[in-house]
Amino acid sequence: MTKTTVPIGPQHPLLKEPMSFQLGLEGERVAESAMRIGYVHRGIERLCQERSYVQNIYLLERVCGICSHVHATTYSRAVEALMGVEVPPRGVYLRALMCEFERIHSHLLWLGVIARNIGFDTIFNYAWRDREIVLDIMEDLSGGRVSHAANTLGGSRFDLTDEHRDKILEQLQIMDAQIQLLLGAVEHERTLRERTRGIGKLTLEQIHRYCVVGPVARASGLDIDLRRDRHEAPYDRLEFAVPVHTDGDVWARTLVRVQEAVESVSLCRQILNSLPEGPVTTRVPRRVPAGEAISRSEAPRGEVIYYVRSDGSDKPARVKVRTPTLTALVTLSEQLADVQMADVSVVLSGVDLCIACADR
Amino acid sequence: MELVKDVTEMRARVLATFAEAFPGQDFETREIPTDDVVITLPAGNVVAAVGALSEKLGMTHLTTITGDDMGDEIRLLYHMWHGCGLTLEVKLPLTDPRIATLTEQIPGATMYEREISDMFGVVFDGHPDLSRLLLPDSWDGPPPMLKSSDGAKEDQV
Repeated sequence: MTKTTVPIGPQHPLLKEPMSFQLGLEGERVAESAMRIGYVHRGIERLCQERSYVQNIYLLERVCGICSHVHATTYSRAVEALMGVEVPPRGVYLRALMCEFERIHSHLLWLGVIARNIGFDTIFNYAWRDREIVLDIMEDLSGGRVSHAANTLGGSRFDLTDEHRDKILEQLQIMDAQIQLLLGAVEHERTLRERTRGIGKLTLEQIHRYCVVGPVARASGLDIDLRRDRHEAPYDRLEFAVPVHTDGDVWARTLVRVQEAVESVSLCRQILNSLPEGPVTTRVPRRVPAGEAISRSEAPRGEVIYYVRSDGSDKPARVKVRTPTLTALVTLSEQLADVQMADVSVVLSGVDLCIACADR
Repeated sequence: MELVKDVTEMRARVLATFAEAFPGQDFETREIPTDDVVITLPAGNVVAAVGALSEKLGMTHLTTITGDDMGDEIRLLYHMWHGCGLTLEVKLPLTDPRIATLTEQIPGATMYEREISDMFGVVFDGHPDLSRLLLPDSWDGPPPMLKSSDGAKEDQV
């Protein structure tokens, strides 16, 4: 059969961010695929070497337009480790609170995207409407819907009053009801299942080979979540389940993400109810001593790592970021092999790509 | 899958594995926050080391590879995670930096090696496709993360 090449991107209505695919089709099936990224490469790692440690927090927030807070937090943790500074418990809790709000927001955003791509606009509209609740809370807390600037070296830049906390708990109540509704729809609605089941399959063996992380890995049976497995505060004092499924297809990823969002709502509630008293920041030294530190976190898309090396000057000598999307990108050619052209968009959105993250 | 508890245990287990794989060799190690142990290896040993770690300890997760221009040499850091962090450190010369690819043992290293080839000009021998990953095809300057590079010119931005 003759092969047809279909180019998708760098600019394409299917893609939310610029990247490029060359799909070689045999009839309606994808026979081969090639991919190119780098269209939103901003040279952030190099820029970090030319800015001060504090300025970098706000630069690194711009790595991602969805999980901005977790980047700033992970970077701050690395620098604080270099300084030998310990963040007060209230600061740690508030950082985690924001991370969990961000996870809900990210997963609901994704649910909307995948629903839209399979033509299920009801879920799209519900998911994006409910996501507004979380965005409102985050805006209330930090002043920003997406870039929160909620971190500083040594702790959190925002604090909560009791009235504020009660208001958020009320909003979470609504959120909880809505997200249960979405979970019910995802679990029982046949349309969604039929469009996503068996598509974009990754086996556990492939997950290990390609070092895939996050919800994509957990949907293939890899039971790793750094929040739990690194035993770090405050997650070691909170109760939450890590949803794991074994089917490895887009359907399993949908379940993992929505169930994770449900867990995150409960985590937010636990954090708010057990918020320790005390200051939210601590004083940090003016100089960062020479040395290196590595910090890891579980971002909404999986493990994110920061490597920071200091040479004792006022700017870092090296900042390295690895975002979780990069691990999922490698698997795309295997996921796309032999799928129907109409399912390509489901596969692509199924892994929850964040190209700005991957390009940095 | 059994995860390693802490850095002390990680160091002990990895050094025991390496003692078996590379008899008679000594390895420099250091601990860095937040929970990582760094082990320095000769550049030729990385592939064998990763093979031994996967076979003996079941460690297959390569988080990423960091390139770092130290001024007189290029440092590659292979960050792994298995309950806590393990970083393998390798030093390469600034002129003609070369190292064997890891993609056969860990296909997940493909992107990381391509990125370092873009940004630091390191050649990974045996890599299936070292084409540009992040830099535009029209980029003709030196690898931009090297200290000797002065970044992008006006018309390249």
